[in-house]
Amino acid sequence: MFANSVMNRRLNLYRKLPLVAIVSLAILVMATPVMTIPSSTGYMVNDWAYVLSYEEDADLESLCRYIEEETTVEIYIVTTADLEGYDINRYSYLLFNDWGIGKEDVNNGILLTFYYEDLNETHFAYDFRIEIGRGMEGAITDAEAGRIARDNFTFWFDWGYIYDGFYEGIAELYNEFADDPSVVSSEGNPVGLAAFQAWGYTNPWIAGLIIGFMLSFGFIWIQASLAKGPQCFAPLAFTVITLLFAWWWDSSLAVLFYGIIFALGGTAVLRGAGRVRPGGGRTEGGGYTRW
Amino acid sequence: MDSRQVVCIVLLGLVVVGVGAAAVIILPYNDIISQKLEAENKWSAIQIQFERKIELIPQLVTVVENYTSFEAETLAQLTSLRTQWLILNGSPSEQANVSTQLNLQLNSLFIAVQENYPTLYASALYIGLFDEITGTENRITQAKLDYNDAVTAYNTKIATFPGNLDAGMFGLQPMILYAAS
Repeated sequence: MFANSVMNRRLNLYRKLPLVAIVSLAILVMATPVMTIPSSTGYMVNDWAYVLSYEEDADLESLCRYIEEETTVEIYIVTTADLEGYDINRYSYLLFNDWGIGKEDVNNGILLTFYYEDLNETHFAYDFRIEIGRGMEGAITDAEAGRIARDNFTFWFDWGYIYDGFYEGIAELYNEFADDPSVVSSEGNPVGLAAFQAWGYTNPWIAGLIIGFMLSFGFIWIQASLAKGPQCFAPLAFTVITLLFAWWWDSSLAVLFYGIIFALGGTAVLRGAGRVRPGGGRTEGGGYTRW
Repeated sequence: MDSRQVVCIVLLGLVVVGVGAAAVIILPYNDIISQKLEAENKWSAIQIQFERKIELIPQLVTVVENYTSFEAETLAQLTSLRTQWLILNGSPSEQANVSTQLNLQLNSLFIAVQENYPTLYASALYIGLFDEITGTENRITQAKLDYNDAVTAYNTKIATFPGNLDAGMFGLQPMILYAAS
């Protein structure tokens, strides 16, 4: 009797275990403070506070890319209404180092952080910081950054001309380092296999088309050689190598994804089309039967 | 059971225990040591930024001296604190002490300049130096926060399993956080 009740209690406990696990997991997730720096977007202008119009955003983006092409210096803009619990100095510092702004050999990055705060319908407050990469400190000292921030950036920001402030300030920063050879990175564009990988990364659709052709070929080859015994290992190996190649080409697997899409889609369109028949034909019973 | 079988089982057990010990003791130990070295590196980063700040003081003193003869006492204090810093031999508590005094003197100087010497306060040279000192302060702050992050990671490692085994075996002590001044 006693043992039985203990066993029952234990059973009840075991039944409740998943519930307990789920509840404690939920508490854990909710109790974890969220202090994470947003990850890189691939754009140089990140207008998360929506202080720029679409045209202004695109214009600053092309300005920053032009400067990068001319001097290899990377200027990033981040506008945000949420500093993730940090102050703006720490936020800029962490985001700069997290994204790795600037080229690795000379650390020639600049981050412009604009923290926007709504006060009411008509007024806003802001904090602004110029974060200078380690290699740019010779070209733009803290004193120069301060002068440019006061005279060219915040001078316009104070009147609500966000785009004008960014444009003029970036132009002024550019003047400071434009003729400085020490900020020019010697990291060339990638060559050889790295260039091939980079091309696949930037053109996943086209690379995926190639992978798709190879996969389709591999599948057809497998089907053709299945009945021939050991010979079917060659097409199997070919397919596996194709998959590994796609993986190596783009480790984010976008190329492989598009490749499989193209292979399946191509097969469905080219080989499947004839087999999907609409139906609807009728017979009157004509013909011949052999009993 | 055959005696050879027993030997075989015992050997197998020893191998399993050995591999387990390696996994539990040696691998975390390397992690812990590399984290400790990283924290020490972050500590030296703080020192480097402090040096930068100390090097700015003579410039500030010169600029202020040229404009005014009234703040001579503060300037002398600043210079003597700088000398004190330079002859310190890296003891953290001494350093914190001098650093706090230095900040107090700097703040009083900045306020005095702002209130009493408008031409100096508005001069490009002074503004530039002020920006440099503020920027250096920010570098010191970031370096301290980085140091504390590294120390916390290290302390967490040696307080939790399996790192606590290593800490007990090799006598690893938790490192001290840089407290806010």
